[in-house]
Amino acid sequence: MDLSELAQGAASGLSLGSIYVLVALGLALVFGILRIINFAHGEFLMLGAIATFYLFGRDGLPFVVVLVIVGAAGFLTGIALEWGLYRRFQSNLLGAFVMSLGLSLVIQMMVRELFGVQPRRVPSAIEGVTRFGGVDVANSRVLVIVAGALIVAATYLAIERTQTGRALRAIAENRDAASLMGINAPLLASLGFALGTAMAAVAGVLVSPLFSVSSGMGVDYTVKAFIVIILGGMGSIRGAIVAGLGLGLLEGIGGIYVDNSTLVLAELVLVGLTLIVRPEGLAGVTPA
Amino acid sequence: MTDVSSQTLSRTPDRGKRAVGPRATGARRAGGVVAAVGLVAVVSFPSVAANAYQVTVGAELFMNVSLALSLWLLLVTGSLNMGQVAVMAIGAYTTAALSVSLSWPWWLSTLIAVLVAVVAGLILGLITLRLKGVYFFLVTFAFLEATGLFFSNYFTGVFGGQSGLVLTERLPDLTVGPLELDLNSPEGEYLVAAAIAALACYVASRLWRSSAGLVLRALGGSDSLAESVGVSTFRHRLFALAAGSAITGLVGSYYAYRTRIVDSNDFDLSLAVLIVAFVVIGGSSHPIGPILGAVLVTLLNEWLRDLGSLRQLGYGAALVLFMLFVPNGLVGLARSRWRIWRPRDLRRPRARVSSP
Repeated sequence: MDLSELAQGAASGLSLGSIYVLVALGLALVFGILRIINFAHGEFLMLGAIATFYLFGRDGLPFVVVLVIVGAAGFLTGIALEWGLYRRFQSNLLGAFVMSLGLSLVIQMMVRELFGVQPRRVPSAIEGVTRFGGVDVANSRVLVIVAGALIVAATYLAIERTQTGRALRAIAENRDAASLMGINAPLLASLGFALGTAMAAVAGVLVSPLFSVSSGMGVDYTVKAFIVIILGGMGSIRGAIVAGLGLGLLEGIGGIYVDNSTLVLAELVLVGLTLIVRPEGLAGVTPA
Repeated sequence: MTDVSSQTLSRTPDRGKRAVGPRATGARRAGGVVAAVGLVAVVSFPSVAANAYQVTVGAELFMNVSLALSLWLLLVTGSLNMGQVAVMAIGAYTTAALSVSLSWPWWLSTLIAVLVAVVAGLILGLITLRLKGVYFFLVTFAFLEATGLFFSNYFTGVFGGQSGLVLTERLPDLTVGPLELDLNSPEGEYLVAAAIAALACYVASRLWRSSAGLVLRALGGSDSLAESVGVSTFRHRLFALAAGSAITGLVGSYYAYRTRIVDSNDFDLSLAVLIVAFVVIGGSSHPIGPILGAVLVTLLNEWLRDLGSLRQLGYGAALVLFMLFVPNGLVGLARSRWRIWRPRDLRRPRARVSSP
């Protein structure tokens, strides 16, 4: 077993896992607040990646600037979509799913008209490598891991430690009771949704230098987010983090030995098994 | 197992099961006339069609109707089975593999394919139907992905891998007395597809009028309410899923004979979305809904063929718009606005002293 190869696999796995955590957390946030599954969630990642292609790849804006712009744009888009569209499907799981299915197609096709069918590459955010205990890790990977960790930590703190975060959790637990307590539920619902969207978009920015960018890339991440949420448990942030990173590592290290299709198939089988044996997922929190 | 549901629900006169009274007879007669006219129209279409391509579209239409009805059977209960297309793939691949690898005759491959499809549906149901709504969607979707991956990458000797399987076997000619029909011609395809659709319609309408159908509709309203009167939501959903899977498997099997190339890329998310569009646009509150939706969308699909991939954008937009403004589909619209397909008013007294 080649240690450096393993370490590389682990590094790429961790960076991928960070992306998965970001996307899954966004999806879980939307579910917790609106009680709906947003099938179009991955499309925000795709939009973030496409935006990075244009702003960073073509126009040469600094990467950090693109991160901020996309994050803000993602946030605002989320507010608009929640207010104009998703709000009407609150708690209507079937309706929201079908609608978001359609929306996902619409977004994909519109982007495809603009961007074309061919996947394109985005240049690296940071050149060079860093040495970790004898192993060279690409800096772009380190960036993703660090940025991802920072964002997740910030989100975790925001949700667990601030007043607004507490209000969000209250809404997720029992919207009506929260309203009765004086919490402005519609406003916070928008906020929570927008946060989830922004996280997906930022994940798109981070992931774009690692893999090629195309209009169809979003769906894969939606699926991965589903997998992470099922494995980690729908209601748990910790579960999502563990499951997301774990999934990433599985792919990073497993990818050395087996091809991608086998990996994805194994993941899906794992999901099936988890649902049979332990439906609440790793963290064991059942959705309310 | 005594069906407690029908015992409890039949305290109000069950007009849904047996329509009686002068108005009902009239309605039944009208329905019969419509059916007869429809049958004549369907059978004679190939003769009056302008060209063979139109007949092929007709065959496509019937396949879509069958698929729409299969999805609808479970959708009535509020469960959207994203894995239906995977079951279709299983039907197609099983038929093709058996025919190509083992040279089994068509009727045997088809039979086995349908059985395998039902088993697959049952397995899927056993895993997913006990889960809460959210997980059901996610896992059936995961099943779709997994099946696609499986057929593309595993047992490539049997399933053809990335390039798929090519079916060389042809269906035999149909001989009815002096009439002989080549089942592989456009007219033959049309007939077979129509037969499958007829079967699907029959199953759907029988189910709809049965007490099981009532339960399925009740599930669509509220699981806990249905369970509180002793109905097994799981078992009824499983049954609907199995019935739907059987039809879907049959469609998949015939698909293999019709298109002769079975490629897992054809059984993808966009096909699943298309079938969802059939049911959403048509409406899910009455069996005529998925039929209507399938017919309309298939025709629209053909009419707009030149637009290519832009059609997908159209379906997506249609889904969004319909869910926003016409969530119950065209049938729902007909019911609320134009008062067609309205369920009979249960509150009206049975006996009427009026002239027949």
